[in-house]
Amino acid sequence: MITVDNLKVSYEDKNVLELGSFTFPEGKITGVIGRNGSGKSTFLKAIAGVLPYKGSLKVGKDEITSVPSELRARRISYLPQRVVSADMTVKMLVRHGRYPWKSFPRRLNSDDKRIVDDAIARVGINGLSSKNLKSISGGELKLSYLAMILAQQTDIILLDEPEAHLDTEHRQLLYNTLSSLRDEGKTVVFTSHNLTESMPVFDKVLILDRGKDVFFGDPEEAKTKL
Amino acid sequence: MKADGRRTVVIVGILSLIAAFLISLFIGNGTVGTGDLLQVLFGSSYSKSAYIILTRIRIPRTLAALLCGAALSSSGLVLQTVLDNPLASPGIIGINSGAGLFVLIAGIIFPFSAAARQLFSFAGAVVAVASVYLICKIAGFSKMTLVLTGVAISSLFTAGTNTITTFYPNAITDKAAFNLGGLSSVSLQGVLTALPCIVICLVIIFAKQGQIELLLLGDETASGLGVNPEHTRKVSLLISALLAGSAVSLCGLLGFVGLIVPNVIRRIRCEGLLYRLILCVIYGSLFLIICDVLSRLIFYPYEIPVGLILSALGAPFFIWILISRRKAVR
Repeated sequence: MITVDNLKVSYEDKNVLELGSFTFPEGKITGVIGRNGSGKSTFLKAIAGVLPYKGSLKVGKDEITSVPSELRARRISYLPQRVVSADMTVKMLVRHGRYPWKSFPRRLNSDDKRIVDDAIARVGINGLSSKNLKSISGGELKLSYLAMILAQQTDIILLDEPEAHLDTEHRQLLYNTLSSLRDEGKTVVFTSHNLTESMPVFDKVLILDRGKDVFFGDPEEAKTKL
Repeated sequence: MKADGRRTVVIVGILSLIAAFLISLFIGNGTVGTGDLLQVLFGSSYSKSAYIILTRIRIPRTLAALLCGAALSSSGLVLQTVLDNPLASPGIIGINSGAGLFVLIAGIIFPFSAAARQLFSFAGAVVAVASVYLICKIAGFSKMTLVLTGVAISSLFTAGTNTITTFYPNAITDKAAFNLGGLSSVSLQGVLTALPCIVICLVIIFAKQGQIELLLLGDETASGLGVNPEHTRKVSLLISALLAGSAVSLCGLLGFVGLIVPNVIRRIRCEGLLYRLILCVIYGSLFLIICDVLSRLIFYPYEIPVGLILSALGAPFFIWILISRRKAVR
């Protein structure tokens, strides 16, 4: 459960996000939609703990900024809008999803390896495991990062425009994966521009406009506000 | 690379390192032969001159090559990872020249103190890396900005070094060896002073390698995985500077080790920063010991500073990286 109460995010002394009070329900998919520059990515970054904020933003009963970063990464995973094609294989990337769960020397045990293999299989990129991130397409890169997020095994999953660069087939795979995560009790929040396809997946919708929340409720009602 | 292959690369490296270490002990000019030196190691009676040559010259310089090779290679690998730039190395981004300038200042103020050289070297390395980091932050980080800032900072410190050696020619014992990087005037005291710092820095780098590697995924992803990117970057740069500073205080301005070794290791398709660090320690030491042995053999019985060999190898290597990067972009 994510609870927002008078959240403000500033950039160079200017408020770029000012939200009221609402709660994202547990075990549901919430879509955050709005035009470019409406504050969707900023909002996700604040929940992920990447950006500082004023007001209150709670995960369960805990204020996000009060949770140490390594423990936060065990509860919240975050897929940024822009992902980097680093010099490493897809499998190595997905293995990094286990980082928050391991202490020094961070060697993966058989359970971790199984989780990594499951995550790779779940997004259908088995054939890419040994490929370097620099040699795969933008869509494949996004799926690889999604597999890393899945390997992180958090209860809350934040995805910033995960459909970007994905073709129709892979978008459908993404929506199916998110639906199955919801069925497992995970709370998913993702921003989307592709409303025609993503709207049926949402349980709740938050509409942002110029850094303010203009609607939070059911998808059917949200359609009338667009 | 599969697990067996990875293990083989490590074992071959360690065996080669042991062999190179022993060869380095027995090669060099002087009136004492290999038999005399073997007597010191394994015999019951030996000549005093053989004992002195082995314990005061050969062992310190070989240990120094081992330590500096490991320190500079690891420092280079961490810099390349943290700054996401294969051209980054202690020499290229000005750390060596910063440490060098401060070592000369220590030579004027505290002419007989190895500890002062070490401390001043640290200070110079940190000042250099902090300057480059701050300038890049203001100018906007890019691979080219980093290299150009390094060149500018390096030139500034080199100008300071030249000024000091002009007015205080006795600030350093062997000016040529210091400027080019050399192991001929290394003392056991110097080695023992640098040893703890290099070992501690390597332990810290090994402990933090997981966090450092996540920086490759970008700051936002690293944050999402529980890492504080800014803090990790600063600590990594500081430790890299201390490693390079220790090497400079011991062997002078050794260039290109931190560029060549990590880049070769990155190209042999070995994955994971931990494994690459292990290889950098082993092969960095091996590389510098081999270059040092060559510096004693090429114009035998005359010896040249090892930095000359490193420059002869490093400059074409740098050009090769530039060309291969351009081809990769195409």
